[in-house]
Amino acid sequence: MIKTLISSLGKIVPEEELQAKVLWRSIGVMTWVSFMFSGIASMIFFATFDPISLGKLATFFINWSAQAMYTAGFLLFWLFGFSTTLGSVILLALPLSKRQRSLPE
Amino acid sequence: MDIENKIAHRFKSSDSNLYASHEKVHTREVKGVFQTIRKSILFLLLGLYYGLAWVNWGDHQAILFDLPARQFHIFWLTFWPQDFFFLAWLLIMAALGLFFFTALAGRLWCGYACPETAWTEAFVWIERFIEGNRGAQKKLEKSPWNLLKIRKRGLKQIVWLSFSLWTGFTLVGYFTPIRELGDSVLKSFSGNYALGPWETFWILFYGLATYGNAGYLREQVCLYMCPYARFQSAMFDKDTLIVSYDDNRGEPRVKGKKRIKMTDAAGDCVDCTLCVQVCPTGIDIREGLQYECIGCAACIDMCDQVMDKVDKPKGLIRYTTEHAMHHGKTKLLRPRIIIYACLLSILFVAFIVAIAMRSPLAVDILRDRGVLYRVIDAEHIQNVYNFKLMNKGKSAQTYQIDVSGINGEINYDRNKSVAPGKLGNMAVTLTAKASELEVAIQSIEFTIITNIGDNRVSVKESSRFFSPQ
Repeated sequence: MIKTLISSLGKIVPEEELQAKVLWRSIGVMTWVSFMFSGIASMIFFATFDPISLGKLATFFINWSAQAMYTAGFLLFWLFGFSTTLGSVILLALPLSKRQRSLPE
Repeated sequence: MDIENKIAHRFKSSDSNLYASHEKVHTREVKGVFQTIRKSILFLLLGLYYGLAWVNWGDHQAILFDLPARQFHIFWLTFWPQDFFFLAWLLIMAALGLFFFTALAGRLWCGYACPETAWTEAFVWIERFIEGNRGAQKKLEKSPWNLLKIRKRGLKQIVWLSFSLWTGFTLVGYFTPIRELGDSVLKSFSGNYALGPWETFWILFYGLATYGNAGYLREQVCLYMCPYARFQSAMFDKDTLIVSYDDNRGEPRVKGKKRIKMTDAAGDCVDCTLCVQVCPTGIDIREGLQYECIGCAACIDMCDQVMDKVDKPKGLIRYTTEHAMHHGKTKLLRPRIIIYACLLSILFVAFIVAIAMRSPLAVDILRDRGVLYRVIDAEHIQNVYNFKLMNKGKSAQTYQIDVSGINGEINYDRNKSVAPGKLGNMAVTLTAKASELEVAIQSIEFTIITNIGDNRVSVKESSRFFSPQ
């Protein structure tokens, strides 16, 4: 799993060693960018909807404290954001075969 | 250069550089005018952060974001979710303010106000206090793990971690009343764990983030993670105040004894590299403006001291503009500055006015969805409305409702009381004489009045009256 990630994220730089650094940098950036947007999304969402009443309307009745709901909402937005950026980063890194063709020997 | 060579060149130089293992930048401590200003501002900001949480205003904490009750207290003001638009407005103002100050004076935010800078400064100070100055820190890093190293490094970690946890605790203290939170923490220390799971989570989360960002990542956050660092240059022009090395004066830089031999030709720069040693991002300002420069002005203060020692005028590195550097004149009032300033002032004044005029009552009128109108008898037509009354005040409200635009009889529960911060529903019926109605849909206006203390507050809302006409 990690190896696949490294190879897909690290294709920008050929050397194995550098790939790991690209991986960590990508993870850092993805975590951080999605964190910021999760903050904004949570603000807009929870200003519009009261999590307590949402929990009562949910298909699976959720009876958590307000704090738990806010936290869960924030973390969920973060997870969504992270998945989106992860997808973008993986697709933006060119496939390995293409990279090798464009690289000097 | 053909494409392949270009790529090869890029990988050899910049990328391997960019992804090279980060070596910790041990900065040399520097004192001077700008550092004094900077440290005072950062100290003040951190003081506000840690101190304001403990200030009370009336019967509640001065600044409290009470999420369970869905109300934000900021001194005498209380904001409800309905006031969300003020928050959006504030964020727009903050962004515009950032543009304005960036165009005017470069990265003031980064050097003087950014939380990352403030906490990094605090952590660096702790590190220096425990491990000593730059030389001592480097020596300690190289030395084997002996008792001294264990003691110093251990102490540093303990102080860093405690400071981080205190930071996390303070953050949560803005969401959960901090005195109650403090009580539960104290109780938890004495055996029975009283801290809520989510409070624990957020204290640890924010504490850990502070510890990692200010203790280890430091200026790498500015280099790799900060979006502002990447786009700030778009707001720069040739009249923006930047930290700059004076090429004309400094070059050719000559070191030590060689200077004596070539007195005339040598520039003012004595190539002591102190400006590099004090730089938190580890750049050489003499290579020109770089995106890594966070405008902390440490190199200015350092270079001024050196210039004093070698009897040259200060300001070889200084706050200046590109125009001032090359033509000698800076234009302060440029179109973008004027536009930003006007927009910002308009938004700011409107913001203050809007907050001052905020009504403690908000009303939404929904028409009964089931029937358009009811025919009571041959003479009378009735419409039903559902009033949603939001009490944004601090005491319970009762209401008086009038209607204009129609000659009708209005009926509602005069004793209906809505508690502060609550949303009340009230059915209101309006009955009019059929003979007096001229059109099928008549525009009407309700006036909702409530008494707050001795003040009458009224809100007007328009609606429509349907009839078979």
